[in-house]
Amino acid sequence: MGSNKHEVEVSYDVSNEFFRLWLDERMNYTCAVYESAHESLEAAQLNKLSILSDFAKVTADKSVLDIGCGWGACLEYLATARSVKRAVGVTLSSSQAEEVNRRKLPRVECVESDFMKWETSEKFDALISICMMDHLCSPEEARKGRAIDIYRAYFKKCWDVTTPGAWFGLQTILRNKIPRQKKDLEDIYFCTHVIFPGGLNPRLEDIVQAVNPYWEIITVKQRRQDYQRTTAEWLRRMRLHEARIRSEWGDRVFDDYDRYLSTCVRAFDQFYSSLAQYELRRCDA
Amino acid sequence: MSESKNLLPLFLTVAARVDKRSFDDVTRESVITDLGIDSLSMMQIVGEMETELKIQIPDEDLVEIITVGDLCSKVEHRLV
Repeated sequence: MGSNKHEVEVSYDVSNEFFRLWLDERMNYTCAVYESAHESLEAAQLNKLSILSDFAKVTADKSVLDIGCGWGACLEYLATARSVKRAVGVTLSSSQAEEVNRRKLPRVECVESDFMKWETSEKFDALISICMMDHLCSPEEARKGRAIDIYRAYFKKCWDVTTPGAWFGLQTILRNKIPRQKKDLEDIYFCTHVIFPGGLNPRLEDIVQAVNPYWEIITVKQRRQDYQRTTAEWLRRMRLHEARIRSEWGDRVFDDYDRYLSTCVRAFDQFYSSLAQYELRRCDA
Repeated sequence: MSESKNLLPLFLTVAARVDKRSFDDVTRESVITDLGIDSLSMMQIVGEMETELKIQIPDEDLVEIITVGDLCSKVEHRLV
């Protein structure tokens, strides 16, 4: 269900060096949060990690699970800026897991696994999950009406791996308004099927429905314009390296990612896509 | 539905423009996919009808559309 290992590797294993060319220095591949007009992408990514850590009530005495940990930007932040007792990341991507474990971050462990199939007896005091939910449900499953059940199973699994009183800082990209223009429809279809195969962005109402009965929504922050600015900066940086990307990874990679990032910028501008951050409290009653 | 606002001709005009072909023997009971209209064309047809009639149909309404009549009813509901 959702993206399988091969599909995740299509999305994230082009090459770590390729992504390093245009992401921020910590390789956050998710929406940053800008607090001022002239703030850098690097600073905005730290803002995002700070907000989600605050939502999860992260303190030094806690163990934290990062579901869909990417290249470890959040794990590094938790271990260094928040000095947590223990931080564990889960990713389905081999390249990402290797990169995280190569850095030997203090009190950090990265597990290469499908979170929904991951078996652990460990319970965590806090959860963070940044834009991983879009890999849970495929377009085909959504068309069969299975999205809510799939998302609810995810929130149950999150509940199962936490201690009573846990908090959860969640970030999800959202699909919002379906385009009506042919080019926009084709470009979004391309992003869904070529760049992120097997995945589908949830709708806000899906999340609101699926968290019950495991988590209580305390806060929701809408960040559509932040993601437009983030993707625009990724696109700007990637185009600075066009010659090298075409030379090392081929024209197809550059053209596909140029189309994908251009589509993202337009999709956030036109309300086709959005992004939300959630402060969730575990239901223990 | 307002009988004075028969939306079937508008649907046929817009569908012909989007898919670049004519549609014959279409009734409100016709299933849209049976007419060879795929989801991409369907959304363009919806968009052009919205523009023409200066309305907006919420996305959740579109999930329930199977027949030409379903679409016309959704549009008619927004015209009231």
